[in-house]
Amino acid sequence: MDTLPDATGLSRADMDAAGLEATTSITTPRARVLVKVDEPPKFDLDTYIANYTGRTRYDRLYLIGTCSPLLSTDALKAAIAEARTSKDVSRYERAVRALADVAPNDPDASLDAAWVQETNRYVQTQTERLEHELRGYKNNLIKESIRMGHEDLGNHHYETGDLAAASKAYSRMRDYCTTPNHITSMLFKMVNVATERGDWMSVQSNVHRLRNSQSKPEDAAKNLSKISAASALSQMHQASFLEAANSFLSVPPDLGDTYNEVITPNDVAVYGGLCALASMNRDELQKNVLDSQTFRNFLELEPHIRRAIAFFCNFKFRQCLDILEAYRPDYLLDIHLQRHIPHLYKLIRTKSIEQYMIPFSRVTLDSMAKIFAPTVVGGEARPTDISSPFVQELVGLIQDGVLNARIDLEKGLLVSNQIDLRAEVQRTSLESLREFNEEAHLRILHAAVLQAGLEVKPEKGEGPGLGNGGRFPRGPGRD
Amino acid sequence: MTLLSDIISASAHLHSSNHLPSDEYDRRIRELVEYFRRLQTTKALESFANDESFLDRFDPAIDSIPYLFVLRVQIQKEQELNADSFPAGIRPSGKLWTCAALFLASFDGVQVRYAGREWRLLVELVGQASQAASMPLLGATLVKDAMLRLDPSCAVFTSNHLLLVRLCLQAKAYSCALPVLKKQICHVPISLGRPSEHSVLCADHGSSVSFMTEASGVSSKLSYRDYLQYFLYGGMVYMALKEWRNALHFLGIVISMPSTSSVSLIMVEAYKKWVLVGLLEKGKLCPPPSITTPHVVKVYQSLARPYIILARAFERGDLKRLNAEVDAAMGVWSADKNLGLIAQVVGAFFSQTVIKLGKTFAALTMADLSKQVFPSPVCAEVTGSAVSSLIMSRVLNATLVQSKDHAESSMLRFSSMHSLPRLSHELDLQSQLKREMKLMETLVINLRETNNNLGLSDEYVDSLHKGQVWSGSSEVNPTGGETGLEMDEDLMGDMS
Amino acid sequence: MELPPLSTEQLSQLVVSNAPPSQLFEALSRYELQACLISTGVNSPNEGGGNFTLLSLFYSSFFLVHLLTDQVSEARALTKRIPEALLQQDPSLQNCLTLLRAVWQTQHGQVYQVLRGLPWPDALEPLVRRYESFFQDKTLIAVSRSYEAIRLATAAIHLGLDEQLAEQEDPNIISNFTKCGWTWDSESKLLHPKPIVVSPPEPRPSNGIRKAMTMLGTRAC
Repeated sequence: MDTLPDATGLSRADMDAAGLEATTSITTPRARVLVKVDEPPKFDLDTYIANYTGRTRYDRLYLIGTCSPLLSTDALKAAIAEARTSKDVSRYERAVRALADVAPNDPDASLDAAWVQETNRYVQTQTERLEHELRGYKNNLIKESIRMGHEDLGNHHYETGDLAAASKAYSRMRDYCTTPNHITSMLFKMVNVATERGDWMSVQSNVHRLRNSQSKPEDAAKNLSKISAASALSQMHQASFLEAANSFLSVPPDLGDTYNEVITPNDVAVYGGLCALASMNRDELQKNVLDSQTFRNFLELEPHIRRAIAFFCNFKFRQCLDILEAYRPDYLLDIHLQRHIPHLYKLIRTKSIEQYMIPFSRVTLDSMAKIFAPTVVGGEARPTDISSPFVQELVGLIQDGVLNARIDLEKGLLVSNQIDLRAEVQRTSLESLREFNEEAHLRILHAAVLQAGLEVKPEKGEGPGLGNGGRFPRGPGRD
Repeated sequence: MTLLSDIISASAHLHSSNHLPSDEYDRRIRELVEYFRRLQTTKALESFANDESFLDRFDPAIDSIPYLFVLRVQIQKEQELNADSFPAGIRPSGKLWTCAALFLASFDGVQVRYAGREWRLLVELVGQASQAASMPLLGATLVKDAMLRLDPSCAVFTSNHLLLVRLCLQAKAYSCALPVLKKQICHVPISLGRPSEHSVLCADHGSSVSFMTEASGVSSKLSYRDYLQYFLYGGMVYMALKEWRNALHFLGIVISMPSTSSVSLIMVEAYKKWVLVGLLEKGKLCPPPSITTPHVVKVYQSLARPYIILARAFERGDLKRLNAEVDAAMGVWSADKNLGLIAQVVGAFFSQTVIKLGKTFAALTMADLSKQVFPSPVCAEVTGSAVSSLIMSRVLNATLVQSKDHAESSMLRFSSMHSLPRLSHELDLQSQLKREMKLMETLVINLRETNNNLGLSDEYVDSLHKGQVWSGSSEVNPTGGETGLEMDEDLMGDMS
Repeated sequence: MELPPLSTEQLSQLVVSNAPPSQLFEALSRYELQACLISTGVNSPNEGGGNFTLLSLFYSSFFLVHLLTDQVSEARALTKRIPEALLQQDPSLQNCLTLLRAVWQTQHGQVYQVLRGLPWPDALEPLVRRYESFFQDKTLIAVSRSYEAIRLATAAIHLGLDEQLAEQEDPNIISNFTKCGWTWDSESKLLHPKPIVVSPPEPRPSNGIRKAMTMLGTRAC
């Protein structure tokens, strides 16, 4: 049901969890609504951004600049610098506007009109030139030239930020591709544009084509890591966390720095680890994540994710959640994770509570609250009061069928449901006997009605042959 | 020899054959009935039309046939003389009424099988006369007793069934209908394709379907409407008595009625009530019985939209939303005459919510309960007494623990095991199981009968072949514009 | 089996008799037909005050017997069958309506108040007392199953005992409960009820009518 977490409003339990755990204020994680991350992240901005290449550098800087008040000036200045090395005027303008909001007096906060004008002119002439050339190639009917003409135009649009046009130009290359290599290179370009546009369906379908393309075995092996990574990313964005986890886990370690324009090996570790935590039980985590020979290489890059998973597997949920909490600011400043963090964290938290309860027939609410709601325990309200957010969270989990237990507020316990078998059997046998009798009676009557020819028939004088004209009057519908 | 002594001797002839084998007895009753039918057509019986002493000579329990025929003649005469269908003599406490009442309360069930048509006309007359005199209660009681007397199993549907529930609803004498309603109807009169088979009318039949045939005349010609109305009205009787489960079963019969192509508006009306009664009995929107045809279900869904929307709000446990939906469609409820049920649905919301709370909590205080159930604060005393009466009336399986301090809120424990000694609970279940087993035995007997009949009838096979052409229906005014047939609105029960 | 005509004497005899409620119910059900005739005046053109008293007595008794057989919904239906004018004017029928409302809403205190405090005609007194003790027993059973611990005062309200005395922990009141096997904890000042077990009711005998008729017959002649 939760395929589109960002499209649904926060449920009550959602908000409770957020109120409990979030020290950062989170509004609905929509692209347009700005997320504010007041805490300092653990990363160093320069080292962080050095991991990436290509247009994603600007996107990441801009996101950090607009979401983290602490880093905004540095990040936005870097973003402006990044934009000026490119030919993308709109990016430059956007970054300057953002900087003007946070640091109006910064020299970079005013627009360099000359550069803008010059670049615009350059972009326009370049577009005209490339289109002219392409027309020429088309007249000459040389396939390879046409393909390259489209590619040049696509690259140009991509670099200047006209993603729709870029995507269109790349897709026109298809008819002129003559070798499998042409095809894979075109498809990767389309994947990159779609990724930047956030068009995950398109990423998915192009990834599918990539998998089926008939490249040479050695090329195929080389591309596999990038294909898996792109596929995993799109699955994560579509909130298919278990599938995403499995895809991330299957990314070959030779990914290395080959795909830094989209994703780094560190990202694979973090995204994969979080998706796995959110969707797998303890055994699966141990077997598929911690014991995985290939994924180990990624996890070594982000040891705290490894620790969090290990804690989870060892029933140390508090430690696991603490680690995740500590890294929440970092993840909220990640371009791909930001909008999924509330949902992912909620899933992980819910699963922790669920897994915690499994070995017990009864647990005191106090001991649970110490693990899952430490801020409340330390705070004002009684953690086991009915109006405490933690108890309300449990109520939500029970009502959603996640926890098969009941809350005993008299003794302050969470009691797992134990069925009194004898009573249950008696109850169900009586009930099924009743239902059987009722059903049997209905069927006997059915037969009797049919036998007597008493079934509802159209009124006389209005034979069944009259067609479908007269229907039932619509009821007073109100929607 | 006068006609009178002739009749007396003919009837006496029958008395003496009481111990004869059944086929001989059968022959003699047939002869007697034939004899009277002849007398009737030749108007010979007219001579007794004004003879008040005639009926006093006969005991309706023994001389059922002569009594019935002469009584009918006298009634006809009375009607002709007064140029009125229900002259004073026929109305309650009139001379002929008293005779009819005596007859219906004591006739010989076997003899009357041979004069089913005459018997039925008398039953109908009594029912109508009581309506005409605005004393439907009198008619209802007589009709009920007469039906049970003729066919103690009441397993065959007849027009008298409909007459009875109608009278009971009009009289607001709901439990009067129960002795008949509680008998499972399993058959509709059919023309048996095996007239000369071993058994005769007077024999001891396993099932009444053998003598309550179409030809017997005990029922007037039936239409699907009679059938649907009976079960709808029967359901309404159960609703008035708050026997929701039985009401649901009756409504289920209506809404799952086989239909070739069209849907009766009676079925739609029943579906609307089905939704509300389902909320009262089970706290959820009940799907129609599985044998309901899919196209019929679609019709329900479009014609009963407000009801379905209301039920969804109820299921979601959202009090504000529920109230909003109730207010929004006030006109619909009132036009459908369902205001009373709606009021009870709103009243049941609290109990259903508290029952559901027992799935989340093992124990909580009344104050906690209040906080959890009501969006805005509610007086503790109101909640307290509401919950305590839910428990005391056994709607809610829970126990209360008070504490010494008056100010401290009581603890509500959901179904702690020790609260009721197991034995008592199991005895209770056992008797319910026994009841259901008994019911099942009856059903099995009737099923066997149905199988027998089906095996021999072509109609059934025919009906299976009938095309499923979907064409329109133009039925208006489902209940035939009857007024006064509604359960009264129940506004006493709601708590606030 | 001719029914003896409905009369005040006949009714009083029934009301005083200690017959099981189900038999009383059958008998009175039969009489409702006569009551119905009387009320429409078909039977006696000399419409007098005597009929009014008779009908009032009949319907009030029948109503109480409904409650005595635990048929609250049907008791309510009965109140709709009583002639409107009679219902509105007759004080004992008005009492019945008040009683119905209290029973319907399970206002225990109110029920006892109506039964004890309101003026009932002497002829009805035996039935009123019978219902009072029936209601008390029924409530005692319900309380014993519904509460694991209950304050003496609350229990007293449910059972229609003196609340003031209960507050003072009157030993007589306490013994009312302890004799049912309940325990009294003088420390916590709480009663701990012991669930009262009742065997499930036997299905109503099918020859109830016949029994009722013989009962009527022997008494009438």
